[in-house]
Amino acid sequence: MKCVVVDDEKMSRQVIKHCIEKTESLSLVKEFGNSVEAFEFLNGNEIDLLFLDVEMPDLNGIELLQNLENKPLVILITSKEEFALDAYRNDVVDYLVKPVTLPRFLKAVVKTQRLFHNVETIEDSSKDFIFIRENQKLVKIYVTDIYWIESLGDYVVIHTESKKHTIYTTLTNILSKLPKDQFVRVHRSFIVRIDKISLIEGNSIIIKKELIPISKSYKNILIEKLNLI
Amino acid sequence: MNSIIDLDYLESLIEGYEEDRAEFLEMMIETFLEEMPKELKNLELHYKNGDWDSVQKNAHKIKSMIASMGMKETLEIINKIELCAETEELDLIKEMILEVKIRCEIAFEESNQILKELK
Repeated sequence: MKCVVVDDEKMSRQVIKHCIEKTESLSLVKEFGNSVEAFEFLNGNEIDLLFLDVEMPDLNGIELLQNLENKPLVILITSKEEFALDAYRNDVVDYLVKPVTLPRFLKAVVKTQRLFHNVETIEDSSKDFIFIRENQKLVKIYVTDIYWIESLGDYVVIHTESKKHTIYTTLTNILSKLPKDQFVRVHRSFIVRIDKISLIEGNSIIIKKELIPISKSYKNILIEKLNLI
Repeated sequence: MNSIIDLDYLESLIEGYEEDRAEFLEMMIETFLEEMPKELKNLELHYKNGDWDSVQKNAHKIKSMIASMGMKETLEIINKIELCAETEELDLIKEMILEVKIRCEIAFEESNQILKELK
């Protein structure tokens, strides 16, 4: 997995770098001591995993995350436990409280790898299907069959015409594997397939007679993606 | 005289992976020697400019480095600087910055000595 580390304090960054070097499945692409520079890089480059410090001047970790268009998997690093709630709100995989020890780091990485490998698109395909891991089987789902995707705690439920598939992953991870022109996030907990929307009324979407909430922060993105006359 | 630096903290981070001890400690101590003088200069500069918000942010960053080096008493002082800058209780800050600087000077000497022993 391709990683980036963002922390304004170099000694903390060195600890994370050391941990990455000791983990075979991870490779460090770049490190940043300045969060604004990191933000610019992340907007133009695709990576798999971001180690992100919360308390930084100018642009803090949470602000950086909220402004990123394509979010990679994220592990937050913080010196205060109270940021755990922010971690939950922003769909991050795990958070590490400083001091970061190697055993605790490895635990977070294992969790991330499980998420990373649970949803895979086949390389070089036109991305018209994804494979998910369900009950020790790899199940193929055509993206055109998906109606909406909902997150429930650590799990994500994919709703299709006839079935519901529950997998252990994050909405952000699954969104990164889906064609961007066909899906849109409308809420912290919901992604919908645009052509399955029957009706939008106020702050709700109706798909298959189900009501899906639209949150303020995602409404503009939704409106942009609709073929509005 | 007791040492200012206590490596227990850094060693605890790699517990169970002691084969990397020398390499890890060297890297961390070199970073401390490289970064801390710059941060102390910034701290003084922000203080002279009366930029309390930057004093507080800078103190927070230094705190993390001081904690890494196991400098427990210095940690208490820098903690107070961070709090005083936040509440703008400025009377004691000058003296406390000086105290941190003196302690860091000793820590730099100790760091160089440890590096020699590690190599």
